[in-house]
This record gives sequence, C-alpha cells and structure tokens, in this order.
Amino acid sequence: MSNFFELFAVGIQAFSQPAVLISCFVGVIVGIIVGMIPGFTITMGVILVLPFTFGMSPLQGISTMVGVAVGGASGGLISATLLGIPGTPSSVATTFDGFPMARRGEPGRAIGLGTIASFVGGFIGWIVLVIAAPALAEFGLKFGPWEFFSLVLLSITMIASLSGSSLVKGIIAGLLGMLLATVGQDPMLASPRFTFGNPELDGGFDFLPVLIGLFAFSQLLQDLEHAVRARGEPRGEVVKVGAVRIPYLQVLKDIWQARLSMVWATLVGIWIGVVPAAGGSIANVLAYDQAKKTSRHPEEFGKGSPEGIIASEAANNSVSAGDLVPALALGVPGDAVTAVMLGALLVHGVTPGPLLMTSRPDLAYGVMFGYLVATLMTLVVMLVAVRVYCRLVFIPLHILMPTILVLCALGAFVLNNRIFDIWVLFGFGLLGYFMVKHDFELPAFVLGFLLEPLAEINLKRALQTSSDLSLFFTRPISALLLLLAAIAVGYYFYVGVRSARQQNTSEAAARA
Amino acid sequence: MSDRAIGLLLLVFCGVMWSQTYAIRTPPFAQFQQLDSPFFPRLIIILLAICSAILLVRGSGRLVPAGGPATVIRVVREGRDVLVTLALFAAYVLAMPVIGYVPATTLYLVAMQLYLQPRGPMGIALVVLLSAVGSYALALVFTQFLHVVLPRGEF
Repeated sequence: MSNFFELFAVGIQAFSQPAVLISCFVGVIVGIIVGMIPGFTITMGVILVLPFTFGMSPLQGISTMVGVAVGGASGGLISATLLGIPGTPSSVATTFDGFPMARRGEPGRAIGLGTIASFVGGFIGWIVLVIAAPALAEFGLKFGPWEFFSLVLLSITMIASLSGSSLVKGIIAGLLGMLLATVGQDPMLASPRFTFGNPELDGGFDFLPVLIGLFAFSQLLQDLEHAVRARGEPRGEVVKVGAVRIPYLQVLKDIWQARLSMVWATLVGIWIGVVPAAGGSIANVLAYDQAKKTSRHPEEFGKGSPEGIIASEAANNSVSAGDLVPALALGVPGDAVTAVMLGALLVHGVTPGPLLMTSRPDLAYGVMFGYLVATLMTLVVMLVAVRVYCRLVFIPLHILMPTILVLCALGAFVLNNRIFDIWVLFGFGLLGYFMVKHDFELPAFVLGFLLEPLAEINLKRALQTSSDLSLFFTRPISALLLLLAAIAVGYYFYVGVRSARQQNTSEAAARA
Repeated sequence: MSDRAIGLLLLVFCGVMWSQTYAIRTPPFAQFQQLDSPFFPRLIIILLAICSAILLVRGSGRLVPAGGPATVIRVVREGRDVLVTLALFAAYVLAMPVIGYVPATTLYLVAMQLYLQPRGPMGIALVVLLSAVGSYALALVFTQFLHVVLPRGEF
C-alpha cells in the first residue's frame, strides 16, 4: 500500500510540471472544440494533436491526448443540446433529452446538468482507474505467452460479438487487421513479408498513418456524403447563444435528486470502458436505457428529463477512465482513443504492458493523475466559457473539412518524413470508408492490427515452449480468458435468437 | 457491394496473399524451425478464408449488381463528392514533393473549399489569401518549433 502511494506521488510530481499541465489544458480545449462539432469524433481529435506531441516527452504527449479525450466527451454535449445533433457518437443519448430541454427554453440547465454529471462520472471513474489499473497490472505480470495470446483472442472476439451487427464481419475485420499488420518484418526472425519488392514496405505499415486513415480520413469521407452540410447550408440555429445561462441552484438540485441514477450510469460507463470492445458510443445509450428503466418518471424521458442527460453524460465520461484501465495495465486498448495513445507510446520508445506500472511509474501514475486534472479542467472550462463554445458549433463544414484533411496528411508525414505514409493514410482511409459502408467494425480491425505482434510472438513462444495445445485450455488464466471469449460469442447468438423470436412474435400478432 | 461479392473479393485476396507466402524467405539460422516466418500469416489467411467463405455462402445480395452498368453509374453519381475529394487529395500528395508543402497545401485548400462552397471573385480572393497564410503558418510551426522537415519541392 505504501508502495502504491510512493508510486502515485512520483506520478503527481511528474505531471505537475508546467509544460505538462499546459499541454493537458490545451488538449482539453481542443477536445471540447472537436467534441462539439458534429461529424468529428474524439478519436479524430486525438489523432490531430498527435503530430504535435512528437516533440514532447511521453507523459506530456499522452496528457495532451487524455485532455482531448476527456474534453471531447463533454464537448459533444453542446451540439447535442443546441442543435439536436450529437457532437460525437458518445453523446447520442444526450440529444434525447438535452435538445427538448433546450427547445423549451432551458439550454443552460441542460448544459449545466451535462457538465456537472460529466465531472462526477469522470471523478468516480478516476477512483476506479487508480484502484483497478495497478491491480490488473499485478495480475498481468502472471501472464505467460498462452495468456497473452488468449487475451488477444478475447479482445477481438468481444469487439466482433458485442459492438457490431454481424459476428462474421467483426471477425473478418479483426483478421484483416492482423494480416495487414504482418506486412513488413517478421517480429522474431526479421524476414521481410508481403513487401512485393517495395523497400518502403520493409518496415510494414506504420500504425499512426493507418489509424489516421481509418478513423479520420474515412470519417471525413462519410461526412461528405451528407451533401447539404458539405455545401455550407446554414444549420438551423435553434437557441440563441446569448440565452445560454446556467441556473446553478436548479442544476445542483437536479443532480442531487438523480444521484443514484448518476452513480449507476457511471459504473455502467466504467464497465463498458474496461471491456476492450465497446466505448462511449455504447456506454451513453446503455446508461440512458438503464436510467429510464429504473426511473420513477420514465414518461419524462425524451421530453427534457434531467435524469436522461445526467445518465448519458456521466457514462460517456466515466468510460474514458474505464478505457485507460486495460491500456495502462495490460497494454490492450479499451477503445480507438487509447489505441492511439498506445501507438504514441510506441513512437516514444515506451512499451505498453503490465511492466509499465513498475518500470515507468512516472508515466503510468502521471497519466492517472492527469486524467483527474483533465476532468477538473473540463468542468471549469465548460462552465466558464460556455457561450464562447456555443458559437464555435456553427463553423461551416466546408472550412473545417479541408483543414482537417491537411492536418491528417501532416500528421502522417511527420512520423517518418515520408510521402509514402500519406499514401498509406489514403489507402487505409479508402479501406475504412469501404468497411464502414458495408458494416465492418473498424475497432476490430484496429485491434487486430495493433495486437498482431503480441499475438504472433506469444503464440510462437507458447508453441516453442510446448507443442501441447491443451495448455491454452488448462492454464487457469488462459482458460478463463478463452471462456470469456466463448461467452461473448454465446451472448451474440443469444441476442440474435431472442431478436428473431421477438420479431416472429410481433409479426404473428400483426397478422392476427 | 453485396456481402456475397465482398466474400468473393476477400477469398481472391486470401488467394493472392497465400501465394505471396511462398515468397517469404526464412533466414538460414532459422531453417530448421517449425514455426517459420510464413506460419502466422498462413494461419490468419486460413481463418480469413473460412470467414470469407461463410460470408459468400450466407451473405445477402447478388454477386453482380442487378442493374449492371446503370447501377455503377448511379453509385458514381451519388458519390461524386467523395470521388472528387479523393482525386483532389491524391493530386495534393502527388504535388507535394514536386512543388513543395506550402504551395501544394495552399492549392489544395483553395480547390477543396471552392468545390464544397463555390464563391464569387471576392470570396475566391479571400479563400486564396487565407489558405496561403494558413499553410505558411502551419509550415512555420512545424519547421521552426517542432523541427520537422517538410517537402520543399524540386524547384
């Protein structure tokens, strides 16, 4: 225990450097801005700040990205409330009650509720992060090559079965990511693979241009398909910016009345975040659904219920803390944002994994402390500068889109100073666009791509140690991980069968 | 594109990648290892091929679009904005090493903004000015403060 406090003190000291604090603050500002603009995701925001972090220390760079992630989770609240359009997928459920509340003349109350609920969700999430991450890392130190391989299998299976509509497509996405990650050098024998005689491919596809292409470039292409917005037609301004005033006493009263619902939503968000599959987009909807089911006034949901806003925003902020747990403890990203962060660590020469907590406590515990600081900064900035932010929602897409594309190209280029990486971004952007159009899961692809070296190295080590495949099922931790993977697949089929039965029942009732 | 067509495409891709695994050379010191360099990619390709076959057999839709060329033309028309964006971006990346980062970025920003939102002469002038200033400022930040070398062009 005393060791924990010592390590945490190291983290606090490392984070408290002025440069790190300032970077985190800038990240929060950028995150809120990116989060509030419909069509731009938090992942895109993290990717956009990435090239700027290459000149920073690892902690400073990751803190900036944590700031973007935390700020972005709250930023989506603004457009969800004022425009009825979620700024990010993690604020979809906020539109259900935030927008109606704003339309009836209470936009400030909606934003105030969401902001404070976000803070509470983030704070409770931070407590869980601080307790769970070191414990999970300790657990991870017991992992052998069988366990690591089973963990990769579990991660991809969970994403494939829990977040998409088709298990087969989810697994295909994960396998495709793994296959494309084998391009380049064999991680153990260094033999070139699938280079087609092109020396640029000797090092394989760099992770960051792949990620920028998949999540930023392809997302922008999808946004372009909304032709009305791309042509710069003005969005309907529902609420005058000057009318946004937060009634603090009313907001605090609402928060107190919905305190149990808020805590439960927070726990839902944390759990979703810890599972390496789902992210904020699922957490806020699930938490909203739970809040409605347990509310004394479910009929008010969808009409401007404070509880609805509180549940959604508490969950979408706590999920960021949950995502950091497996990322810091095991080196397995909880979502695309943490995948970018882990990629950034690799660029800085830091290897994520269970040893990070002990070998780099300044970094691991610094990030944890930084999450709390970012949550506090977001609360202050959102409450103080709400009217300034509200104006930024209306920046036209025809200005933003080309700017973002330029930053994406720059981000891909600065990694290795190669034009080839921009072409990689282009190619994977096309692939990502194609995948999303045909309901293939991008997170599954990214996870497969990122974790392929871990899977390959550990599978080979396991088989070289012993050719007995039953060890994957007889070693307790490995068996547990494989069992969880099987449960995830089983749950997918269970939900499918249940949906089919419900559909048959309703069709039969309609015919009758 | 239908799921079945995608399944077929993936199977073809698996075939190509499988054939490429025979071009992977294991280093002399690892010649007697059972788990050589092609091992893991082949495992992934086999699993991918199985899933692709499932998609081909159980997926929905036709292998060939019902309307034939007319469907393709319709899809191209509907995706015009995306195609133009892709073409402009490709032109931008091709131009960058030739004319340099700042000119290429300026031209790209101007072209994209004017395509997405056509304007009159004054608007065009403003777009050109702001794009040039923005491109130069961005290059300045990265070259002077972050010490990144950006393409300078061949001239």
